[in-house]
Amino acid sequence: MSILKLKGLRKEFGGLVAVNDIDLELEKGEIRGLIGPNGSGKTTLFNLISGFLTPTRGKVIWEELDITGKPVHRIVKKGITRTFQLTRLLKNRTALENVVIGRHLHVGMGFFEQIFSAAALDEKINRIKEKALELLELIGIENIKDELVGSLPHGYQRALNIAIALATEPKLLLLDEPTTGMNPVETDKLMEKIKMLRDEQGITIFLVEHDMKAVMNNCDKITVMSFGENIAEGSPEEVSSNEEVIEAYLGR
Amino acid sequence: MGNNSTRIILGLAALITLLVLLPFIFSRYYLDLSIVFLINLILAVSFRLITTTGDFSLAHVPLMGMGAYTGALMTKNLGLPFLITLPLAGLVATMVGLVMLYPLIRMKEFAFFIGSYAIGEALRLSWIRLSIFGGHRGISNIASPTISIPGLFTTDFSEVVPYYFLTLVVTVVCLLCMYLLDRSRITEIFKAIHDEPELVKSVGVNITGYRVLAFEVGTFFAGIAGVLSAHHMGHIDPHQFELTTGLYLLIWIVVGGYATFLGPIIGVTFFAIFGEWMRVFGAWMPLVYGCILVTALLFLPDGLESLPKRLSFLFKKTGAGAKS
Repeated sequence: MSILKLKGLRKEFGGLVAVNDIDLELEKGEIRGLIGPNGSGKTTLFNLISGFLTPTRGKVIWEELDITGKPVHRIVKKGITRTFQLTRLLKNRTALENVVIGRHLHVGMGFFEQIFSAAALDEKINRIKEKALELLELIGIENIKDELVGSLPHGYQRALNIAIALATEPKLLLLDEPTTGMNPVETDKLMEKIKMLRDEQGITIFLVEHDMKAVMNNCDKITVMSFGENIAEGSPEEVSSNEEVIEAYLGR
Repeated sequence: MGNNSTRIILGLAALITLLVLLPFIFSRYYLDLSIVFLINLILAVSFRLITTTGDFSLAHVPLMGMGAYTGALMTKNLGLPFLITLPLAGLVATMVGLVMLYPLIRMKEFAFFIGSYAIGEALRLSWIRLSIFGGHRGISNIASPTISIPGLFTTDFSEVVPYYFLTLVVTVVCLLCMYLLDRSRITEIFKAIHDEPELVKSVGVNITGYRVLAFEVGTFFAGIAGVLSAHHMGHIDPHQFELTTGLYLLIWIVVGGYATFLGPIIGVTFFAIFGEWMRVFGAWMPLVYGCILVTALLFLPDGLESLPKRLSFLFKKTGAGAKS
């Protein structure tokens, strides 16, 4: 059953067509890779799905529901969370505090409750912290929970971004180049975790990635974009032997 | 953290005790200044509340004026009692603030800053143009408030000492409400929006909603400060709410600091004490204010509130230097 459908999705910036009438379907529980040369519109596509940008035309259908142009917080509530290509973290706070912010939708307190009932607040805040710690453990970075994020090594920061995204309890995770700046060992470890998220929690994964080895080894299916268009789609084997894909990457 | 908040509460308790004792120490003149000081506290703390999301609003003083006008008109024309006009004026300021936000919330940072000036100024100029607000001359002879419970008692606040206590009670209640908000999770979100808006958005926070919330809560208390000010002066006109007042507000916040709840309180207190001494400079006062601002920006960019931390760091450094 397809969980996400893109129908003729298009985004223009002035005269430039960044995403050109993309049709795409994601199956529930799959790991889908999105590859393509720089500037082919991959991040723009993520921005359109997650609501950070409004499409010029076309539709985003999520679980049979039209979510095109809905504000980001509504889309997150429905179960789609994205991460960023550039590391975005609250640098002067601890790793745990960052994940706690990610729990925003699951705080379960009204405005006045948050302000006035200190005791209830402490109990609930503790529960949120416990959950946040669990997520750090899940990603395997619980050892840095009390460290200020700004001083963490890059690999930890990337992993932390995923933990924050997980805190929203997504059904679909859009990962924008999760392994950027990681060495092969770190990359393998992270891809392992991503597979585990799918296997154990049933989270559908859609990821942009430049590390071809990581993509080929871990994705069920791959979509290739070039100049805003969906030029190929299929299993890693199919895609890597596709003439058009090779052309897009290597030129004629 | 817990230790820190007990220290803050102890400090505030000491401050309140001192403020309660003031009428027995001060002359009428200084008591008048103390009332202005309390009103400025509400104004500065509510202003800082809005800045936690990163929005610096030059409409804060005009919105305070909106509260002042509402309070004055409701007292004069409708004869409503103080206990009703006070929250009602806060609400009217909030409503006007909401209308302002309709265009303003789409702006950020510098655009928001300058946009808020334009919109605040439009509000202020409307008081000059619309006859109900009394034009340039404003509204005079605003009766001093009375609080009465029929059959029980009636208290009249026309004298300075009772009015001082009334202002003190209102100020303490306002600051307490804002303090509760400040230590709640909501302020955590406000600050996170300031630091990393895209990330906060991506985890499902309606950042526009939270910015509106901060602005509206701050505006409510600005409106309250306006009512207190209107009754204190007995007269209001559009010129009291000019840009100059907004700039002084900015100076208090920058010199005191705005990272924590205490910053604006320190700033307002600093200028309340030194402002009196600075009177000797006469017409040169704005220059002295400017010098203090520049000095603070250069040597204490995080404001007076960061001074203890700075000093302890300095002592540690010289201590280590002495050892080696």
